[in-house]
Amino acid sequence: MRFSLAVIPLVLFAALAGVFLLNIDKDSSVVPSVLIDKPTPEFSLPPLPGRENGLSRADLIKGEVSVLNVFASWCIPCRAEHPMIKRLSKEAGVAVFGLNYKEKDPQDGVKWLAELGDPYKAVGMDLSGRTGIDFGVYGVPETFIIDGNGQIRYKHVGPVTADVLKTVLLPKIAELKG
Amino acid sequence: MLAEFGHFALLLIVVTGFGQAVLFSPAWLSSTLRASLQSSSVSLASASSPSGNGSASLTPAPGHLPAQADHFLILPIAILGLGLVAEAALIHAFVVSDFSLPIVADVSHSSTPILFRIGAAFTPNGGAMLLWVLAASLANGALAVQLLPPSKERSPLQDDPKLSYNALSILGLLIAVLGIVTLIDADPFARIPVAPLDGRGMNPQSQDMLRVLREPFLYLGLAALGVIFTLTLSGLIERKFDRRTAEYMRFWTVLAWLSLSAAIAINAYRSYSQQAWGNWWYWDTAENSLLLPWLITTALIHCRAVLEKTETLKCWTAFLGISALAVGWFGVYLTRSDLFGPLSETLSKPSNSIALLIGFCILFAGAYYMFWQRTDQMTEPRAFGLISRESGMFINSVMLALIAAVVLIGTIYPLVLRWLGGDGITVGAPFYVEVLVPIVVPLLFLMGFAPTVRWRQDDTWLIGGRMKLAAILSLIIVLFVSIRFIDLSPAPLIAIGLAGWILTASLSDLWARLWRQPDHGESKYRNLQLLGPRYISMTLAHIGLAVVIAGGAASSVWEEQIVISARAGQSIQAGPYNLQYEGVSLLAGENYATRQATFILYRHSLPVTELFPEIRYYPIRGVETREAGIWHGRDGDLHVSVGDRTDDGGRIVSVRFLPMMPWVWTGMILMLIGGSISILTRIFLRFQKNGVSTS
Repeated sequence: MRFSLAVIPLVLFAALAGVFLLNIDKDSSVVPSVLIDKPTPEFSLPPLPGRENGLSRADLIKGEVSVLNVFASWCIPCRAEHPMIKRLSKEAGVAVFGLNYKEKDPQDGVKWLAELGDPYKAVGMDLSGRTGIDFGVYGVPETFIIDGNGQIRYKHVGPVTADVLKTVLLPKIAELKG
Repeated sequence: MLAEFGHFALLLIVVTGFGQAVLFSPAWLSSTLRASLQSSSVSLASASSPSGNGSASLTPAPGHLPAQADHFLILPIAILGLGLVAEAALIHAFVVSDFSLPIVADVSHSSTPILFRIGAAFTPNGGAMLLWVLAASLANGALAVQLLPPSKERSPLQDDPKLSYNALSILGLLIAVLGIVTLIDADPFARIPVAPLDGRGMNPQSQDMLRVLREPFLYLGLAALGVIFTLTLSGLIERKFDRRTAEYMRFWTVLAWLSLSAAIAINAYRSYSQQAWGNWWYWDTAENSLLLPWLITTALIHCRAVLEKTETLKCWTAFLGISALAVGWFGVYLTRSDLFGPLSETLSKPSNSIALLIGFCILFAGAYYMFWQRTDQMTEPRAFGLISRESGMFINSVMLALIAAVVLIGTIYPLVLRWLGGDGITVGAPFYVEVLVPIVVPLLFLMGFAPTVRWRQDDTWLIGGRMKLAAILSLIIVLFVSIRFIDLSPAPLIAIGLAGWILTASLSDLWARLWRQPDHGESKYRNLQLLGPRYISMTLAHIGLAVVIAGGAASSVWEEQIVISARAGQSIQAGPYNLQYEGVSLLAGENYATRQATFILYRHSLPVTELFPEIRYYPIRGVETREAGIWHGRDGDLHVSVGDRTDDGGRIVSVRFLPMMPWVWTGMILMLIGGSISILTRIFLRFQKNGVSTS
């Protein structure tokens, strides 16, 4: 009698609250990635419509440090971080590659870059999100720093802010370049 | 010095809130206190009779002392006064730029214009929480006026004083909890010994009048949800969740719905105009946290009407009444904490908001426990048929709750996965569209005919007969659109068809009520009066939603976008419009520098207006923002924004022509007008009644 359907909200609420309470002190922006110091996964992505060069693993193992930035036109923080990515490609002196993640319409990415500017050396279009999964992308935007041998050395989840750029990404890149 | 005054006021709010919780509570403590304070005729013997959980076995109900309730009216008034003092102290600190308060130093600067310095007081964590406390104390005062009748006059509420006392007691507790959370998480009045020379400046993305206005609407909505929560809980405690409770809740549901709708509309228009990407909904966390309580409140509006009319759906309405505040609170937690990394909205100093989370857990664990304990004893006095207004409203609210569940899951799923150490999907617009369409389509279909279905029991054939006209008309619309635009994909066609269905159904129902109804020898105007504000506001809100859907579908399908590198003097064609680019001039704003482009807009070669999209640079934060130039024309919006200079000496210009986009804004305004009509008539009637009764 006591255990009616009315207990469901309490149970669901307790579960949700429990998950959040247990994770209270986890800093979610510094995520340990299983892929850190592992080689980048094998992939080969087609170019954006109207462009010649796609993106594949071969681009990342040319012996120089590079940055891979995952973006999508439907993602607001990507817009917010875009000026920082532009600065990164200007100031860091490394190749910045783009992974255009899960667009509904392939043209969306093209328009987006036309409007905001294109800092990428090459952009691969990941319509299905398959390559994103291989890279362990869980939320766009994400930014990977990859060394010359194609090893993922650092991963930043969330938008790159001016702070992150100055205190984390640029020093990390400088360190890897040696 | 004034800030310390505000700090003290905030502390006093916590104390007074607890005081209100205790004094109005039906526990023995309050009756003893009252007895000793008032030295009234209530015998201590009866007051100290064992009353375990306070609510069940309470014989000497404090309600038997109607005159003394007036004395306690001082508490809600005191809380409201203290709330105003605290808010005024904080705003004063911002106005005089008192940088020894970290909150001021974080989001303000001496060069910030005065209006935005006031506005900046609402945006950081501490300021927003304080605004919530103030809104809650406003609602508390209003609820006290609503529930505690003036002087010794008999009012319907005095038949049931326990309900009102419980409600005020719980609301007092809620305010105290909010006050504590504010003090622990983000104390707005904390001081640092050495003040910085100047502040870090307001977040440029918030420096906009509309954006600043969003906060008061949001927190007013949440405060109204708080009242709904307390009324629901006190109804549950008294096992009297009936027509009376539903009646009290009416004003508050509509108020919550209206404020949240206004906040959502503002948010949509802001992302449309300021962020300059021409989209108005993005499924980001801040938007979802507004949408969640709005969905539940919309469901609640319908269930509450059923409860008031037929006293059915008690459990479900109570569940929604508690959950509306729960998701609202949770949404605030999501946006105020740093769980999602630095969102652009809450750029400055993310905090972990632990107290907000713990307060949330304790409060709602208690509420849902009470819900569990009490609902199995609730009886539904009568049943309703499968085909009836009640079941239509029930199905509708279940669907709305389902949508809310999907949005909630979509918002927290990536987070939970991340904590589990796994990796997987990213949730964005694609996910929501795929999952929500199968729920939204039948919901909109239901929305067309549910208002015409009779209460208790109706007949399918009769409904079919009533909906004949609307069905034919909406089919004609669909046919027309599909012939006119032959290569249209089915999704927008379905959306337009459904919008047409809702629109024609609402209008034909209105028509039937106005003209088909016998007018009893009086004029047809009498029929209009008989409709009542409820019906009119419902119809307006439904039509408004239909218009939003039609506009949204049409503008997303027929949108034309041109991105080019333009030189001065070049003209750009978009839809029926022609834009002539005149060049960019460097101007100084109040605390920013702006590159303002000038465009002359022609429609069929006749000049219409000038548009001035901007790129603003805020030197204090070193942030660039873009303001679009927008023209709301008859046949669509023209949306133009400018970008960087290109290598060939031109400038990136992005022009969008969004046909029927003004429909979206008109629809939103119609919905807001609908809600306002309901609220204003309610307030008007209340004052009229008071005026009559005191004279």
